[in-house]
Amino acid sequence: MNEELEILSHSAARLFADLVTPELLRRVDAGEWPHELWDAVAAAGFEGAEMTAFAATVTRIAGRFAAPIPLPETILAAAMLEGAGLSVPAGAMTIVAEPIAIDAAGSLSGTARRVPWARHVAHIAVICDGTEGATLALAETARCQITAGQNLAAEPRDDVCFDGATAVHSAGGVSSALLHEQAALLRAAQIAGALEKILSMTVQYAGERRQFGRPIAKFQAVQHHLAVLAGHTAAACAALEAALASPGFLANAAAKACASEAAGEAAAIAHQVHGAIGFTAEHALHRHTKALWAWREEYGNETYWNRRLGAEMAALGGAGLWPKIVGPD
Amino acid sequence: MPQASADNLRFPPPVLPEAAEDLRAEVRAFLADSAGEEAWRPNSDFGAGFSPEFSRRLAAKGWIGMTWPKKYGGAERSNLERYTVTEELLAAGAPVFAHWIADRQSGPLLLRFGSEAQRTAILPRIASGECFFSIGMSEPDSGSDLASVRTRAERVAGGWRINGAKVWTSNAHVNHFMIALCRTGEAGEDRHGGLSQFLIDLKHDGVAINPIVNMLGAHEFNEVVFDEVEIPEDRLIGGEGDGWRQVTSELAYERSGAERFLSNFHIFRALVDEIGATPDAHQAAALGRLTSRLWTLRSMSLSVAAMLEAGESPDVEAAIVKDLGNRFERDVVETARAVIDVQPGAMAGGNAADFPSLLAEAVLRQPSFTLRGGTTEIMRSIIARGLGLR
Repeated sequence: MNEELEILSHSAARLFADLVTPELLRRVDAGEWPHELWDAVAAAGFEGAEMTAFAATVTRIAGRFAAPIPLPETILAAAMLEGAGLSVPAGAMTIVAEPIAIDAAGSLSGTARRVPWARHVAHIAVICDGTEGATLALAETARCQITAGQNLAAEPRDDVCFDGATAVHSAGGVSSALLHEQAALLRAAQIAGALEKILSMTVQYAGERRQFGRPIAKFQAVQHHLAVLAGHTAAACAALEAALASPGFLANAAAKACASEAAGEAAAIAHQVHGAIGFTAEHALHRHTKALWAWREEYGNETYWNRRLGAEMAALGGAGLWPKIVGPD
Repeated sequence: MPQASADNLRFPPPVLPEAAEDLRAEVRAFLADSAGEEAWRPNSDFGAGFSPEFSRRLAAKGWIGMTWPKKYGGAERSNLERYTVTEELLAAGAPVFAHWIADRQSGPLLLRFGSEAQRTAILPRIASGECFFSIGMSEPDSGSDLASVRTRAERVAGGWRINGAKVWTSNAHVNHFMIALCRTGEAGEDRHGGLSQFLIDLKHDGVAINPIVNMLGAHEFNEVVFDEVEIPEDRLIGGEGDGWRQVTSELAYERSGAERFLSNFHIFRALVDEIGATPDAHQAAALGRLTSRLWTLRSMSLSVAAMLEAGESPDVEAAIVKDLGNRFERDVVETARAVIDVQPGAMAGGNAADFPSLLAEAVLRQPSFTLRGGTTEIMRSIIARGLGLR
């Protein structure tokens, strides 16, 4: 990690540690928008983090704190809008990567499912399928019908009906597949952060909890659970960093597949080591494990990405496999 | 208790130097040229392919001891360049085992801890593909518990007298030297004291090499018995009593290389061809899962190679790579049998390169992956120590 990314990591960790408090999380659970957290993130400029290394770094830290804000979504919306030459509105945004219909007049139609944080944001960057091919449109949520839904971690995942809404502006030259891949990569970054968090929580707990007269961390069975947890965490983080260093379809797919697979394995171990206390509402562990169980499915779970990767490898044939693994993507 | 954090489990992806990519092309061309040669047959396990002839041809290309100083026969290339050569050889299933141990760990150990005379005498012979090494760590009563070794080296006039036995010694019957970890003094409180390493000529009087046939019916490893073996003073490697420190540095090389996840790569490759260009959904997911994990492991292993290049001691990282890599190798085999309808074993009228034959050998070799170079249990204990738990 270069020095700039290191500095970004540290300042993001400080900000989230200060502001993502149990009290704030209670208010978010009750349906409130955490405006002070969002305002601080915006003041720090995190929501405008450049794709991909800066965006993934700040998103990973947000994942470590399970920060209840649409940070990767806003970053991606801004990057897509900017890339398409469209002006970027202030405030939190979200994205729709599965194309919505648009007509020549810019009228949108159709419903997007499980849109992150839609009820709390003013704008959505929407990939549209029109007569001109794929375009990117900026839509106002005030013109859409929003039906509340949520993921396992109780983050808003709302259905958005665009019927009757008109694009504020739109432009071509965008790719639904690319947005989907990048959204998957940023979810992988959130997962990496959450895995780092549950690893350190679980190691700490095992050192404090005493049974049979000693900390459970002294039992070999528990040590080996934690070693496996560390392996999953290391693999997900390494895949993410490798994907940032050598971007491409293989890298993005592998990063999300590894992160999603690690999420389930790691959450199971973290709960096993924490015992019954980790299963209580009061304990913080479930904040992170619920996020892992939710994020591993979003923008393609491991099966989705592995299937796509596997189909590509099969098409290459055995002789093409190794050059693909080591070669430029 | 120190907190586990991302910072002690980092695998920053290194950038391969341009020279490494040129080298990769050169290695691939060499392998393509060699493909028709007698000595060259893809292996079911990198440890199964022993070919002095192939090793000498690699040496002629300058690819053995390639990171060592030129004055010892090396080519002064970087660790990442060496990594590129080794991963290409492994992915091709080339018969690399004759020189592998000498190139990977014995040579580097001598370079780091050996005397000038030892380096001058041995390293150029390794680099020219003429001198092969065995590992002398495990004993009949010392497997995972390496500190309990009982092979004893006693001072005698002008040198040392060695008595004891080493076991699971790959290719001792065809190799030239062993680096043996021996007890030379009291173990002390931490059990790590009083150990020293010696360079032993496997043809020396008093050295008996007894074959141990493995469960595949192959003679690859041996028991090596030392009966009053008297060796000169200058066969001690490094400091008397420094054996534990030296052997643990040797193990980082042993545990993090590409052979810890590529040793049966050819099964993965053959599986892709067996499945063909139009996999069903289950097969595609299975191939993709192996692909994404292999891609990740390779990046992690490359990262450890860069740490070694930088002079760091990535023991914990190497243990993580080995643990994940060994699980991957097992899953290659388990995936292959799960996603296609195949009965492992020689087909009537078939040959050794048929998928059922390859798979049969791969199934039978699986148990060794999580044992050699340190068991899974030892790897996890090393990781646990890295997390501050022990």
